[in-house]
Amino acid sequence: MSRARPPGPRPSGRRVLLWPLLGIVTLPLWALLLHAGTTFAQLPPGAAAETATSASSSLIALAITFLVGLPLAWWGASARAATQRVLELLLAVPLLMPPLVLGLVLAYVFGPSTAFGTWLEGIGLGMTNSYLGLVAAGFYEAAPYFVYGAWAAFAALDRDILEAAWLSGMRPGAAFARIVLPLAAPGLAIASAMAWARTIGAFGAPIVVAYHPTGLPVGIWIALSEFGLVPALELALVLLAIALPLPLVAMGVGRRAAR
Amino acid sequence: MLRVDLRSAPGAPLEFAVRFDLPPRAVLGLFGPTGAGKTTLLRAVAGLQPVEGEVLLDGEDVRARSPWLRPVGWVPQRQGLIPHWTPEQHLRALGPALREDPGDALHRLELDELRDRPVRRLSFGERQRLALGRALFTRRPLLLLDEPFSALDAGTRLRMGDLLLEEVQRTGAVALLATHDLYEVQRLCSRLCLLRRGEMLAEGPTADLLREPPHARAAELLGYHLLGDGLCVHPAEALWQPAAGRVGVQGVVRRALPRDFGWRVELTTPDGRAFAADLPQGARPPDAGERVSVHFPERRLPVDPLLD
Repeated sequence: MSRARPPGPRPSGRRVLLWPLLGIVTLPLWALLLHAGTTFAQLPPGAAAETATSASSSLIALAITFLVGLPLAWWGASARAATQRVLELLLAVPLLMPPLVLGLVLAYVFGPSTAFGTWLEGIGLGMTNSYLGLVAAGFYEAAPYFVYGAWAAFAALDRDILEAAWLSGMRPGAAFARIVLPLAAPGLAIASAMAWARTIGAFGAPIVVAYHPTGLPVGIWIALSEFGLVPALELALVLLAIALPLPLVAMGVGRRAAR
Repeated sequence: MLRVDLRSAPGAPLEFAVRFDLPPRAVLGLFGPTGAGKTTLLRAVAGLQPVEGEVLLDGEDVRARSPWLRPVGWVPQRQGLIPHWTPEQHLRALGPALREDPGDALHRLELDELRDRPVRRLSFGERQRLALGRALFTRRPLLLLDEPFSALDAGTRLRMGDLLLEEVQRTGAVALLATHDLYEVQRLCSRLCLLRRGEMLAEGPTADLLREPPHARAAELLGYHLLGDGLCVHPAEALWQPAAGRVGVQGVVRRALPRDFGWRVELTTPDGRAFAADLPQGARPPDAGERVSVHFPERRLPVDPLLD
């Protein structure tokens, strides 16, 4: 049985013209699929370890981003206009900072150049060339994207709903969990997907602050310089394969939560 | 006893100042044109808008409490319902604050058959009934209702109005009802507050204000026509032949509209002012363009230039 077409004007034949545009935007995907070959025979050594490192560190970075970014985004969305402007400015700085520069800043702050970095090293939480450093690099690359996305999702909520819930006796914590989060879920899912894409693909900051343990983006660069284009593209396909499911699941969950 | 004494905060977009006292079981109609400040006033009383002054309910400042502890039943203009919740979920979420069995409450709101339907799939009128129920059935002592009946059909509007009056009488609550509808004011409101651009033009018992508006601007809001020199005429008081104590007003008929009581004839005075006069059922309305003389009680009211 065919599904009924939604009411509205019939699609014009000119819509066909949009397909080439879609092709241009998705060019990297097709190039990767066609050019990278059909087997993983040429995967460089250490690919499995790099995949595990990237996936696990990115998941942890995403979890931290969520825990830190969610309250910040809510604060931004519900603060007075003057506070909002200050927060926007502060968050724009890491957003606009090139990832390589971000890596330099992290290496400086968390490295042996500062008393703080030395102290971290002393208690076994060294941030340079460590798994912890990789997580931190992923977090700092992703956090501003998540906060801005989540902020927009919260700001789009109908304030009347929240005020009516409060005046009906619902406390702010309950209102946030039962009303705000489900209503903002689609927007939060997109923000999470953006943050995930940033953290799993983080290259600029990790290459400075955490060359070891090597994650996939740095691994791709090493494969390119040591083994050539094809093994690097094979590894890039692996990156795509582990990066894609989470955003798809998040967006599906987000849509369902708001239904 | 409710005492409201509020002034807008410095720099607020709408300047307003209101002051009134209400006894228990009073329903105060907030009446005025769009932009008069009805919603602003309700939000200020609810403590959702920064203003100066106080809202004392039995001597205690309502706004001093956290929003979830305020003794307020609140119906915002856009209802403030949660789109993915059903009517039953909305009522059950009130927990022990709900003083009525959810099933009975839904029945009284005429929402029995829609109890499991998400709010986003309800009509605007159905949402209004649910929002009204959420405010009424918690039996809070202060009800703040922002055009709660605006999307209801005539019959449902009557029944929901009765429900409001019943609950107010039963609980001794005080209600503030923002409305554009003069009939709703006459039917539901024991007192009336006339607002215009944030200013309180008049406040008092509804019947008194309707019968004897204190000045021309208040009269104009209540459906009187201002014909110069402070002469205020009301269509319902028109007589079509001379009578003692009445003043004749010359006019040219623009059109006659059928109404439930007969005809409302719209006219224009020789100096271009619009007014209207009612004709009872069975009378023949004059033709458009006809020159007529209509006789009204000579009610001349002060026109306050500061209000213009």
